[in-house]
Amino acid sequence: MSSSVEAITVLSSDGDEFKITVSAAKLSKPLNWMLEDVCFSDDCDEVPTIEVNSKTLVKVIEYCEKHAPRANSGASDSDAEELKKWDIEFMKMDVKDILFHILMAANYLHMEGLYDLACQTAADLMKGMTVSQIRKIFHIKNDFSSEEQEQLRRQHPGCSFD
Amino acid sequence: MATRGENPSLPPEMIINILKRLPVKSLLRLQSVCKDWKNLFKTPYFIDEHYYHSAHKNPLLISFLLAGNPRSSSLCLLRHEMKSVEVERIPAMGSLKHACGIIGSSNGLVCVILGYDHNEGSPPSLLLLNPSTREVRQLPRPTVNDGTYMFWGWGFGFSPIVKDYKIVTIHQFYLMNNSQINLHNIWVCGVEVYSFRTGSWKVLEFDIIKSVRFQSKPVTVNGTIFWLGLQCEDEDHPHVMIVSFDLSREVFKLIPLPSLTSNTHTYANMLGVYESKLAMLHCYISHICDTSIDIWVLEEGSGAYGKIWYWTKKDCIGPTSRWLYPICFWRNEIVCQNISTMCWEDDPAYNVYNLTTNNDLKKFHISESTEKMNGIFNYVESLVPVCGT
Repeated sequence: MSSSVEAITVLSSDGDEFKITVSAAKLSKPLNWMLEDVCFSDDCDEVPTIEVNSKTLVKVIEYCEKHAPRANSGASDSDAEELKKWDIEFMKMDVKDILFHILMAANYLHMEGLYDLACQTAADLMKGMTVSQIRKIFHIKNDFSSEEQEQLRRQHPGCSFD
Repeated sequence: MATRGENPSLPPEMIINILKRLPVKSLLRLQSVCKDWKNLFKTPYFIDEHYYHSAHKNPLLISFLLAGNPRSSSLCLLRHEMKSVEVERIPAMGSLKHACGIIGSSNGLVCVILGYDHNEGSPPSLLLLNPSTREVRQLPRPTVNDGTYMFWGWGFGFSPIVKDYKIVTIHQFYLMNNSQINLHNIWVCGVEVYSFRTGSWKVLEFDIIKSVRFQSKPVTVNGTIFWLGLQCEDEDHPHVMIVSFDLSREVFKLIPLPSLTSNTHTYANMLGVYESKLAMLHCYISHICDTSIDIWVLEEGSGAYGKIWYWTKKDCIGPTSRWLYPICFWRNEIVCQNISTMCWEDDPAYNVYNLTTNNDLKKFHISESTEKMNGIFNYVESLVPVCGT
């Protein structure tokens, strides 16, 4: 690719265009491969599509842009502390709405840091959810018979089916 | 990928990656989500994934809290919080009513001695428990029935080679001298090992350790149990050594201590696990009133005649004007009891000493002054079942 390129344009799965800086794109292996690919040379106007919807891609790019300086150069402990706080704020989102999309996107784009962060956020949210709320977000049906539920309740008084 | 707005169905490996981050308490509650999850939490694959995650992210300490009234003694967990150490009492378990101490902790399982009594000849009974799932298993007593079981002469651990948990007990005989136990009047008179796989005790040869007095709590590293022992073969020149017991081959070995700084007065030696190796903390008076602690690590190498052990000095704490009595390693920190104040027995204040920054990090107290921690062991919350591997 040409060294003059500072940002690249990608398309979301909904067909919207997004700009991402080269240093931020380096956080993702597949994006990095695309960068090295010929289609980013100046005389090419083919825009690659990322199989992530627009709403999710906005968040993923926001994460990349924030983490890029540290990932590319290394940073001091105070920066790491600041970044941790930013991550917590960044992850304050509705699990039903977008968290699982971020998880899928992080996996698809090979972004280990974001994937870990999203898994941990999901786990933390689940601690405060009822069993039926959890079934709903994971699309799971309660497949215990009433006898089995009774038996499980007896073995583990902490178990609840609602 | 799912379309906008809809919550996508996650593939199983992603669900596992989320679930392994949950504490055992939450997982027990979430068994009722569906049969798949309930069965998943019992698979060795998930149990291992969950264990490695909590061992890495959330290593805890476990201790037995001795109360004035033995019936209110209980287990407690020590958790690392941002700037403090939180002591959490494990809710009472009926089976622990006569417990007197922990002899080992491995993969989330804790081995506890019940009703250990100096005056009684019968061997004490043992419990294996998982404090997180609250599963308990009663173990058979050792079979040798003469002499006395001393608190230090036990070990419990897991051998990755034979994939089996084992308990070893060193059965010692002692003579009372003016109703005091004289260290020079203790002999090893039997050794037994219990295998969880066979479910039985077996008597072992003990010739090599027959004149060793066991002096420390056991420390298990990679399938080998270590103790500090006083070798009294030459009664006029007893010297401290490390005793090792290989859990897979069931053999004892004596290992010399590192060559310690000479012309110093040693006030304590402590064994622990540091970077997955056996470590010895050597505490000594380095200047007139100052103390230092050297950290030695036992490395394994191969020599002309097979496996050899050698010591490497890793770090030195101090000199400091305080007297610190190290208790165990915790990540890159050491838990110490501050014994510089005279009233430490009434006020057991513990410090956590950070090895990276060479600084005291936090200080914590045990809430009720009548209580004392009896042995602190590294512990990881896990789903490992107590009934067989």
